Amino acid sequence: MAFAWKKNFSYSKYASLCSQTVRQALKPELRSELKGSNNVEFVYAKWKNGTQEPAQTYQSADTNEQK
Amino acid sequence: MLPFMNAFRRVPLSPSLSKFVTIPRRGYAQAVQKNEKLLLSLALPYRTVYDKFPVNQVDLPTEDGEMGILKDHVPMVQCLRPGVVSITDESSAVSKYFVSGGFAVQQPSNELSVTAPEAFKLEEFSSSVVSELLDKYRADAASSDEKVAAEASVRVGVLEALSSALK
Repeated sequence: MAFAWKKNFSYSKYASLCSQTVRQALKPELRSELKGSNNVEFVYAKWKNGTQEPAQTYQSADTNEQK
Repeated sequence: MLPFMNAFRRVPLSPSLSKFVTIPRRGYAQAVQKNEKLLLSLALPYRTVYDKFPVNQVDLPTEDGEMGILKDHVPMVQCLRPGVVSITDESSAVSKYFVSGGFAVQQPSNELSVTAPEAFKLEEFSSSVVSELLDKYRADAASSDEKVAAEASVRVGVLEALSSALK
């Protein structure tokens, strides 16, 4: 059925699931070349009661390696 | 009269000033210049595979089904499924890329623009890794946790398309 993913996911989530799976299926020698290219990295800080909590870093490369 | 005399008109530089500037005269929209051959541009976010490359035919795995695009195709926008994009260039050589999805836009100027998050040649995949992953995600797809099962079924769909392409 066309667009079957619409029931459960946003397009963005569906696209990232598909591209992660494609990357996982590559030959192991080629995977290391790609390690850096799809890394998402940002610094964020949560606010509570008008004060800022300490900033934290998120790196998608660390989570991707577990998959 | 000179050929381009009507292409421009004089307007005052400012409403009350008597200084004039020449600006192009507005006309109707021009018809798009259609290229003789189908020009394919296949791009990923981090790499361009083809840039306005003349081809004979491109086979696309769209959400509406498998489509073969030849030159002078009607303009359209299609969402792609994970599958194989098969490119037949002018020397009849066929190149196959497995794309993880994306979009294909056919312009009236005979430019076909395919954009995908990931695309690799079929030789760059490993059948043994694919079957391992299939076993793992098929097990997850049967899980009772809805979220895990839904994600795993998407992955299984991609891997099944990939394994049939690799045969």
